[in-house]
Amino acid sequence: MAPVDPSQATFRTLSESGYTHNSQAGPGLLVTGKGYPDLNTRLFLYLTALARADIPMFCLVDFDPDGIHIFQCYKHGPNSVNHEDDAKVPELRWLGVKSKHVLQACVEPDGTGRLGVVAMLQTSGRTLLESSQQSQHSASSGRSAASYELVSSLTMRDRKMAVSSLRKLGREGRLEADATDIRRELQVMLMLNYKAEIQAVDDMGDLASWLDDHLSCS
Amino acid sequence: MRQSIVDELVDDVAFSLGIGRHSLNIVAACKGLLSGSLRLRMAYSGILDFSSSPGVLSVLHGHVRWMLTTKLQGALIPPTQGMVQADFGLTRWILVIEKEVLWFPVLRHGSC
Repeated sequence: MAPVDPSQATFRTLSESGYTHNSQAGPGLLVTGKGYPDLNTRLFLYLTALARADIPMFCLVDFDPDGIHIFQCYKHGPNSVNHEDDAKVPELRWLGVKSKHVLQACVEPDGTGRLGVVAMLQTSGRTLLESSQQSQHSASSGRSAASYELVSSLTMRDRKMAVSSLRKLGREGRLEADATDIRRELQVMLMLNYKAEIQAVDDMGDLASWLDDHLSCS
Repeated sequence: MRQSIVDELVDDVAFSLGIGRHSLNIVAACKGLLSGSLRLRMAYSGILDFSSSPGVLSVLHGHVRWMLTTKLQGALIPPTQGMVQADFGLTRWILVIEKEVLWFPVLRHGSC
């Protein structure tokens, strides 16, 4: 298994560093469903939102079609169990990662490109087919160091998923702010052809201080 | 058999009976993790403390191993059916994160 950079891991590092106690935003609670959440995790969040509507609930996912889908899964429940109305958390707020966060983290104040943007520009010449082949290759070889990028171009699977998410949003015709936000972010993702992992935003500092800012002002 | 097929069958049964899936007591092994100033009173297993502050051990019999091994890395969210009471303490926010841990090479720092 690949070595873990202890400063970058999310749930575990935040938990181990005592972020739930020493956050500038006050004490808090960290939850992870490890990817697509199971029913128990969603039920727990639902019950929590019901019992303590006064505590704001945020969601931090990758800036990619899967991340956005996972956020929607927490908020509205997965499609397959539509009759189970209770395991949803409509109050859940999308903290990030959004396109503006990636750009903020990638571009320094003086305007020079950081590694993310450089990597993005370098890969922009590559065809989609090549990049999807590369991602298949890197998945099979366990994410080799050379192919790993915090910001990378979309694979064919990503594009298909983003398009189907957009279609679904159009069908459902939801008009709340979040749906507009999601539609916009998916369109930016498709148009600019990039995605980013959570740790792309902590490139400027660490995830804890990024969260301090975002949890406090949200 | 693929999980999606099993899910669909279980959902069909639950829907036919007009009840939620958890009422059938067919629930996948717990996967979600929790960490923070939360104490849950459980119906059969006493109080679970998810506080990750080191050195604090308010563990009841039978759950010592669970809490000791997972305390700093978060603990599994217990089945919601067993929850009787929750004490959120001074909790000001709840953050749901996609991933537990991010696996990638430390070599990345060489490129900064």
